[in-house]
Amino acid sequence: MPYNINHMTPVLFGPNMSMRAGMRLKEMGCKKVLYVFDQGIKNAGIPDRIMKNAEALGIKSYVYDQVKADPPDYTCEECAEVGIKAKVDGVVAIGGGSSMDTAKVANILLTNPPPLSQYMGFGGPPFKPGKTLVLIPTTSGTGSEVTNMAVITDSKTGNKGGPANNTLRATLSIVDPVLTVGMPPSITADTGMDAYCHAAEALTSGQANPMSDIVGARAINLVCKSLPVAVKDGSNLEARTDMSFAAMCAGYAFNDAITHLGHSIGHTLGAMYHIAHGNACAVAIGEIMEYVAPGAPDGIRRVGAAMGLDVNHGLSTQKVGEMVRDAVRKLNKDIGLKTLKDHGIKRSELNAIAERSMSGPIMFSPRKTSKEDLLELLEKSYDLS
Amino acid sequence: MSKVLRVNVKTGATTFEEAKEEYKLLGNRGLIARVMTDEVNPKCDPLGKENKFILATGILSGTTLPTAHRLSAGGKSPLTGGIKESNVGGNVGYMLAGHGIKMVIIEDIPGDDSWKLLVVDKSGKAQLVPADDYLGLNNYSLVEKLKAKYGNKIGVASIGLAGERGYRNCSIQVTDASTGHPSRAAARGGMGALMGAKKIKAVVIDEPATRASFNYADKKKFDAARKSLVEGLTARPSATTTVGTISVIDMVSPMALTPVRNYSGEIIDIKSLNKINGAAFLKKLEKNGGKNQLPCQPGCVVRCSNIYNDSKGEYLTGGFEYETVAMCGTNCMIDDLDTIAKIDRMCDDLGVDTIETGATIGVCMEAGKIPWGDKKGAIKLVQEMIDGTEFGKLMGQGTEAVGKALGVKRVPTVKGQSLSGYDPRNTQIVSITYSTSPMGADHTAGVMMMPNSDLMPKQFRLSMGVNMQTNMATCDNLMCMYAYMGAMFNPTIMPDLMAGAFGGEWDAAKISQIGTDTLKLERAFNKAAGFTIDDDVLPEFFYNEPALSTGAICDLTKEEMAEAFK
Repeated sequence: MPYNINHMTPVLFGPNMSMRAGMRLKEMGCKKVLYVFDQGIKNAGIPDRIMKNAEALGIKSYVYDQVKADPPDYTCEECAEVGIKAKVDGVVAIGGGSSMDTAKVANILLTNPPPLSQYMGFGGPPFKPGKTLVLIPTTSGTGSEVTNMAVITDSKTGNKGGPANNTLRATLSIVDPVLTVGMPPSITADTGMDAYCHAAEALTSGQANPMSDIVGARAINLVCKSLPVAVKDGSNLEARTDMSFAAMCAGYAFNDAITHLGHSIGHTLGAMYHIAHGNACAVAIGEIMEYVAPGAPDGIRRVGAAMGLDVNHGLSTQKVGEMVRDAVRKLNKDIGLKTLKDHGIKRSELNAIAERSMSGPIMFSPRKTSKEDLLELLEKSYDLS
Repeated sequence: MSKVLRVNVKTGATTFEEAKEEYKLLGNRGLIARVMTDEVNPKCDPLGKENKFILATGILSGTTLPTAHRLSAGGKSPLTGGIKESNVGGNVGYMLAGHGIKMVIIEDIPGDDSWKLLVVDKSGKAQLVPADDYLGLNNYSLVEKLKAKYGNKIGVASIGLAGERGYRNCSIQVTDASTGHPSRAAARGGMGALMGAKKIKAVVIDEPATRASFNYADKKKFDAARKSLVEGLTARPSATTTVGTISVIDMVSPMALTPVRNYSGEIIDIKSLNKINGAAFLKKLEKNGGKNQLPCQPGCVVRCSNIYNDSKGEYLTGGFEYETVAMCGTNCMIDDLDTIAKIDRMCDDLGVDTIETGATIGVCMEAGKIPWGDKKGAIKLVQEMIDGTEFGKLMGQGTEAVGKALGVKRVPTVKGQSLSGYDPRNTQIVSITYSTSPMGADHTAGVMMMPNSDLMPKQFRLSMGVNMQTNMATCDNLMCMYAYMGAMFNPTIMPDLMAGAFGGEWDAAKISQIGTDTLKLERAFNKAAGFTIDDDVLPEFFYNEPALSTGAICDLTKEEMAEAFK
């Protein structure tokens, strides 16, 4: 089967490399740059050094610091307004998925006419490339730093979606694991499991390809090895570096293979309950892996092998699916990931969640999936504590 | 060009001898390495009688090759305790060559407290004469007084009060060919303190009545190669010529190579940069009647030297260089050219290294002794060295001594000598040079502006580092690096110059061997002096503190570097 490989966003990776952003901006010819981040990143002082270095090289700074979680569409428009007014020639996002996605979408609006709504989803009108875009993640999960899509919230419907197009991608990503050191354990766990879900769903997706298999397996391998360490000891730079790399690899993997059930459920839980995205995607990921195994017999073995499970010796696909499920449950427990029950969701609400999750990336599931199937997965994973 | 003048300061004897055959194809740094190997106990006290003070000219001195007349001062360094060669432009090398003198070796120490001048007169006669009338003078007034006595055409290599007092950051100042002022410095490694230990206040070379002629093997070939080099250097003059070496700051500061705030690794802010860069320098020259594009030695076509006047239009300093601006300027957060030029003048006059002085001031600022960017405070500290106050004398012992005394943790030195104007994290070839050069931290032993080199494989960096040091050691036998760099663009120039001068078959490999042999001798000398690979390391903070501009750290180990030199 033919396939696309679209994932090669240029990356500068390594501890403290965010400090080099100014030089890279200068090399790319930027003179006026719009920095995009949220209040948490601002209060942590993370943009200060990055901006100072660029300013020292004569690059003027403009700031949009009102990024919100599950970024509403109007914040992207606000952000773009700052950039249009200042006539910036570059955009730099510093933060997690919300900041990067806000910047990605705002960047389109710098060079394309409104309204934003026309650029949403696959198959919208083509749009021109934005300005030079540099993405600097401060979490390790979203993978947005290397993907060609952005997820924002439609403020009228509450639904999540966004543009997806190669022109949306960063000109350069600078992945600096040091920036993730300050993440508290719960965010480390949530975002880390987002990376896991990206990779595990990519490996079992109906659109998996040999390249996404390679990078996705590496991501899973590193998450299993280093996420529990990073949650316990946030200052462990080796574990943080593994997680940054894993998140990036997982981003590369799902950029082409696309996610499926975990993210359909995740988007629903985000929209309905504002549960952190990684946590929302991962609440049922063990059960999802077990469920999709028959549709992705090779993929589930790749997931299992990447998790360090002995999936050979003639084990059935079903058995491998169960092994992966159990290993994921253990991983979630080790890192203290909250269940649906922990979030105060009632069993009676699961049906509505299943129903709303029937849209979105579910179409990339390797099995034909019904609402009842989803409900069963939610029931099984409801309370695993 | 084969005479060696040997001077014994104890007996007063000055004798001429023919250079050994094996010395004839060596010059400057290589010659010093050879003589130190042959004649000096590596474990000797640098300021004692066993050490020798050597002045050497280049392999091609006496020829018409531009920049062939650099002068090297060498010996065992009072600052580093290792072998040292510090070279300088100016007119003394040219004067020596005019007398057919390839090298001067000054031996022993005087039995009494009497200071001497070493004078070579018009006829080539050399003698030690009492220097009583010149003691206590700093270089500018010293040279004026010497000119009054010996005439305006002399070349002088001298020490100021710093040398008399034995400051280990002491330079030897040499008269500039354009101005006659002692603005050229053999600055590094405390060679002035060694000259002072021999109690030689100045070496005075008069213009020869008849210039010694060079016996070319094939003058035609030599001239053709020389012509190629001159054409290459003059057809498309670099910013080194059109501005001066201060132009380097425009190239390297955006790469964050220029040290800022005692090697914090920050990038100099563009507003500060614009006050001290090439354009600002040229504007100052225009405003105050200064001049650039001057040759520091006769016949130079690179012409990177200059005259920098004060705001009243009066001569303040000359030979005002990038490294001085970097170390006394950005490194100390001082962005005022007039202040830096004043410090340069004070240092040249006293006879101390501006690089070491800038690093020392930076360490004082780091210690909180004076605030960052304190222009008056910085000048006052240099004045303390001039006045010989207790702290001034401590400063004279160099950056490391001051760092220790003030309890500073971030002291930018290797083998006791301060880093010289390039942050090693942001150009990692220089990190290898700083760490392993037998000279201590010295960019002239091998510099390459290579941003992002921390992203390059270790073996690549290491082999580039070894190659650069070999290349520079070769250059340091021959000529000024700016002209040598010009010669590199045409691979036949250097072989043809050598074949034209000396005959025989020459190729790039044979020329490069000169540098290889030089480095080998120097490394062996230092090993015998007691240096080990434990000395081939940078200050710890370069390994632990990411450069704030780039996040780069130094990660090459001493073992990896030792292996690269095998």
